[in-house]
Amino acid sequence: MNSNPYEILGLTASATPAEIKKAHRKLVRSSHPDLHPDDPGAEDRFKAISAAHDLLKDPETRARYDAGEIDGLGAERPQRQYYRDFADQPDDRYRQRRGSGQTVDPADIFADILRSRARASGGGGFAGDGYAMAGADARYSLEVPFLDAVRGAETRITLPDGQNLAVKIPQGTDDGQTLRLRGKGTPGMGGGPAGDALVTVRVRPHSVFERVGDDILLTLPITFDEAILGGKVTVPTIDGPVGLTIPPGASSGRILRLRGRGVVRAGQDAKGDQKVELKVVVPRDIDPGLRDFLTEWRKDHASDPRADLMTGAAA
Amino acid sequence: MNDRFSEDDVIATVTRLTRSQLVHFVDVALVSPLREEGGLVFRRIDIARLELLCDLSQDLDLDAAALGIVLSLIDQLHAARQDLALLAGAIDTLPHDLRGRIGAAMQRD
Repeated sequence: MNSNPYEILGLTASATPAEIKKAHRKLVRSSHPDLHPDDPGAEDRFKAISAAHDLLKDPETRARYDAGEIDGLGAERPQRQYYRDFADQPDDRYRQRRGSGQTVDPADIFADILRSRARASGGGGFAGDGYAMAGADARYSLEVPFLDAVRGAETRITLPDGQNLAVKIPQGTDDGQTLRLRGKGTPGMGGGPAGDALVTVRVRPHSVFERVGDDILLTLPITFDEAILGGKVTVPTIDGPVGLTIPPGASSGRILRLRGRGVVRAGQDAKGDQKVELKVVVPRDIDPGLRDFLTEWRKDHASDPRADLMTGAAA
Repeated sequence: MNDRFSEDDVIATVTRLTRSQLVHFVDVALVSPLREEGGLVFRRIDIARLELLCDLSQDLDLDAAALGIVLSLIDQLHAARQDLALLAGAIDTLPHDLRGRIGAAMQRD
């Protein structure tokens, strides 16, 4: 085998880096096994081209080759499998045909061919004479803000080809849910129907709301006077602020339920609730009046909320 | 041979590939790994496809649009070749004279 990397790339030893890149690119185009699946010699040519390019693209190894320190064979490249090697794998998910992954009935293929031949009235061959093929499903993933997912929204996906696709996020869409947009996949060939677009939704977490099933969880800070005396406060919900009455004597961790303020799923009547967990927040700077009052209060109101803490607990 | 690769395995196997490129290829569905509870699972076919994507984007400087077009054409080519192989297999089972007539019809251009 020829081991002169310059000759393999069709260059002379005075080639510039730009010429090396250009020659390599041209040869990859003509010899990549996946671009020439029927060419049995492509793999050997491509290996030689890649090895030659590996050696010459790096000025240091190129200089060592030019000085005769290393030979042109370079390092052995690891064994590689090409994509074409998987072309006849039965469960190839990428194959662009409806029903891939299922058993294809050969009779369907013959029927298609016969139909197209009848239409083509005497045209020879399969190509170009109306062989109809349905388009493939296209898969996308889409990150959606939390509130858009629970309330429903309309958005657009930008496709790899620069076009974009309108997506309606139904109310109550959950993380990981896949939406099917009929006919928005790959176009069919020869008049075949287009495939569907399958959009997997990832819901971006919210800093305040958390979704558990159809309920929304929220931790609400309250002052210690609100905790002791009770009071009316305003709570954010996914549909905007609502009033909430805090009962007197509410401790941290107590959960109040706002019925029907949770997630509504499209097409369902049942509504989730919003659960509000109270969290008592004590002022950082205690004023002297409060300190004096509590010092007095403590003297004849001794109680220990930890007295029963370990009662009944397992060892 | 192991046929399940995590995201980290893929980065270690396809040395030219950066994590952000991998995430991008998955996002735009140029590769479709299995989504399992523990994360993404790539198969050997995905590795081969990622090697091809690296060749096309790094050696041939294809941009995102061209990558999508080329991969889609290759996938369609694979499907067409499989249909052809199926057809050839079916023709092989036909009686000798029918095979001869099909052969003769294909010689005509």
